[in-house]
Amino acid sequence: MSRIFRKQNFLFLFLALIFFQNCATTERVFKPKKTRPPHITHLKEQKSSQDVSAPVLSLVSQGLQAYKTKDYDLAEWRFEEAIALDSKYGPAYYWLARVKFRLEEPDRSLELLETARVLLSDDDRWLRRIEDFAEHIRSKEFLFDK
Amino acid sequence: MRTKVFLFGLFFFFAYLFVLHHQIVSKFEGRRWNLPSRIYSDSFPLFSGQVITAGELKDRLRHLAYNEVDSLEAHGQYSQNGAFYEIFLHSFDYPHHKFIGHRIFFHLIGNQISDLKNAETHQDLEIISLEPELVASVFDEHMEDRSFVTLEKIPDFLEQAVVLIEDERFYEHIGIDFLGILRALFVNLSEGGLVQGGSTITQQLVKNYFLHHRKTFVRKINEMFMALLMELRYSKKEILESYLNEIYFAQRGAASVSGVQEAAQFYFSKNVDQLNAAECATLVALVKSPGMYSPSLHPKQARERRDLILKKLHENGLLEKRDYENALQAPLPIPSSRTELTHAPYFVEFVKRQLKEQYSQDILESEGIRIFTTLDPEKQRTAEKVLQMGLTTLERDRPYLNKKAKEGKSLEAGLVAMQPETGFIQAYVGGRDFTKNQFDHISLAKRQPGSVFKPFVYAAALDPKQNSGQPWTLASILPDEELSFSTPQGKWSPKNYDGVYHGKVLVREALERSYNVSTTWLANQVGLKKIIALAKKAGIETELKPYPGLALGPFEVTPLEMAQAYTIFPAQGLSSKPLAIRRVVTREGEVLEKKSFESKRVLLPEVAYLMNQLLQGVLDHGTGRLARTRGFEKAAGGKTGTTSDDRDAWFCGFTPDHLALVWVGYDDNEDTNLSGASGALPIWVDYMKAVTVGKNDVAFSVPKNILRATIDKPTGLLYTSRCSEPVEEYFIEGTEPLEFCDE
Repeated sequence: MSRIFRKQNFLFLFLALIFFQNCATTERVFKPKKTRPPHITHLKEQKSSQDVSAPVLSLVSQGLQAYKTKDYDLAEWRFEEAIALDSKYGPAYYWLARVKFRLEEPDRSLELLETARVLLSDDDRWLRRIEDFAEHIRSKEFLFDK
Repeated sequence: MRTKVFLFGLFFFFAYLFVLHHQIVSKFEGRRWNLPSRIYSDSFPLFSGQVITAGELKDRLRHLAYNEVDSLEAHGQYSQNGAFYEIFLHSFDYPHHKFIGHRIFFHLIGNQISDLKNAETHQDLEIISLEPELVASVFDEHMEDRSFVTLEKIPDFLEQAVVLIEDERFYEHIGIDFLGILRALFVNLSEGGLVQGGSTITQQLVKNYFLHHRKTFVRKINEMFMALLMELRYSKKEILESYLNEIYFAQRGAASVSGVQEAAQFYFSKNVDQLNAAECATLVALVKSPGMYSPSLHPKQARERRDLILKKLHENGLLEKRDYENALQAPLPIPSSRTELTHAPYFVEFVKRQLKEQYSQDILESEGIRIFTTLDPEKQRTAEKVLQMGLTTLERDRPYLNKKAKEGKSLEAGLVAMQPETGFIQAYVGGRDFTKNQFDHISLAKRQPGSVFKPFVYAAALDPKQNSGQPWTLASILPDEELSFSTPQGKWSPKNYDGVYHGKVLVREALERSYNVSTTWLANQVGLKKIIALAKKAGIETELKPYPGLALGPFEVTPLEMAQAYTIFPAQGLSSKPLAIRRVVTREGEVLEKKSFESKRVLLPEVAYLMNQLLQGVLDHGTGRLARTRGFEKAAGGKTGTTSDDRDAWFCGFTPDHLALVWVGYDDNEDTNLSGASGALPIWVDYMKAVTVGKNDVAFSVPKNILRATIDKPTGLLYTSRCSEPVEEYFIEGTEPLEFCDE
């Protein structure tokens, strides 16, 4: 009797083991961690586009003033001047995109946001702002369909 | 009978008056003058930190008609005291705002501006602009340079002075001053000659506007009756306003300077409403005879006449004693030294072609519209100069070209320079000499690009999106070995420029050395249609056929198309349409048209970065290395292009913020014996050196997921000490090699 009982126990344990293994949700695979060979390094991003000069900031500031007073034509001109002075200054494109949107040019606005996105790719805060505005344009785009 | 004669006579007289009246109305109603349109360059910013040489600053000021003086008294003057500069800026009407000129000062030390301030308030200035240069005017056949101004904008003093001197009883007579005629008759008889005229302002206007200047009896009769009719139909104000806008004041090249506004600009570099008493008197002095009283030709007579007028004004109570004495001390003006209105002639024609899409020739010649462009006049002058010098040097130093030149065959060239992100055209030289050959080689000439097209093959190869996520990389090995294709014309095999096959080569070497064979192989592996799609998106509008030899640029494009396509590299994958016009504005200041830059994504920024690395290699140790040996050291990339039989020599190159393309060749497609490196590149180098002098070196932006790895050159695998030749390369993250060369 005890022999049969031990055999049953063993059988029970064996089946339980198989059962629990098959019910496991993740497969544990033991592989060595993949590491980048020491020859390969990430290039540090250059922040040259953010080393912006006072005159560019001044033009953008003048553009913002015009934007706030709804003088969109003047705002557009100022932001374009800022870009002509420093074509790598991302925020100028962002603000120009805002003006273009106000001037009912959503396609142009999205194109400018694309440029801003590239130039500000290392600034998460700006990227969120750009994405939010792009989303806003897309949601309103049907209003511009003629 | 007598009654009949009388009635006939009366009838013909009224018919005669009717004809004169019709002549007046048909010409005087509506548009009275054809006002030329004006094409302006871009403005030039001044700010602390701005890099500019003293020579360039003075050149810009000179071209804007600023005169150097010891002490500033009026708009359009500047003074220099060592490193200290003071400028009295012109007023200018920009498209969206009016700028009132005032004094500024700054220091220029070590080619850099500092301490820029408003000289009146002593406030720091972040930025201020030198106004745009007038590049060209579009005239009608009369070539009258005139800017219309209303009577309200003309100083009262000038108006009163003109009336006092030219026609004292203007407001009292009816177009003819009989008393004035009698007085003139008496003076002329007693002097024994024609010393005084009896013409009123109205008569002078009629003579200048409707009739001719020949002194004939018939003209005089017509003039008198037309003056009477004018006075019946129009008010004194209208007549005087027209008169002041009609007067001829000077000659500027082929064009005449007419009207008080243009005269104020020409003589004093200011608007008419800014003139002081002495300046008004000088203009009034010129009315009688601009030649005899020209301040530059006859200063003594000019001064005497001006002082006489000032005296008369004072005697008539129009000028206070103190103002009169001050006015007598004022110096005579030095008229604008520019006799040529047009420079950048190819650019002007390019702009006109674009304008004609919207505006007729008649509107351009008559409505006085103002066109604001993207042209940088200093870069333009530099481009014109280096192109001329470059071609002259080539023809002097190369016997083959020298012989052709002596036979009367002129080598041609073109240069276009743009800002990559915006497409703003900053310099545009469409040919060697516009006076001899007006054909625009930048936007109208279709030429084979040759190897200058190759970067688009590599860009398509490196793009993960084009290659199902398995792009070629800078570690890819390409075969530079005998290769042939079957074509409808038979078997075709590409050959390298040096006639040699180079075996297995890295992507970098294939582009840097411009190998035809490996590039052709790569193009056919990547897919010709993909390359064509990329080129089209980048801006090449010419229809490209998917022939095996596509990579070698056997089709024809304009240099402008190619320049636009190349902007995708420095502009981080964005292509911008070339833009020359920014705003078109009416003479009243209303904006008719706005043009903004248009860009679209063509490449991933990562791919653009890799291409910039490759194209920098072309300059550092490839076919463009002459750029470095000639002393251009800034971070830059580019590509040479030479077509078969050396018919075309190209170089397109760029720094992160400036792109320029040069093409050299003969109009009849004859061979030049020049390569892109020997023909076009030296001109490009001279241009880029000149426009970047003193400026900081700007690095190409690095996108987020770019890796640098040391690889083994022969295998393209990761390098270990057991491998033969280490070289650093760049990869988009996820595409870097994972195997070592000794595995």
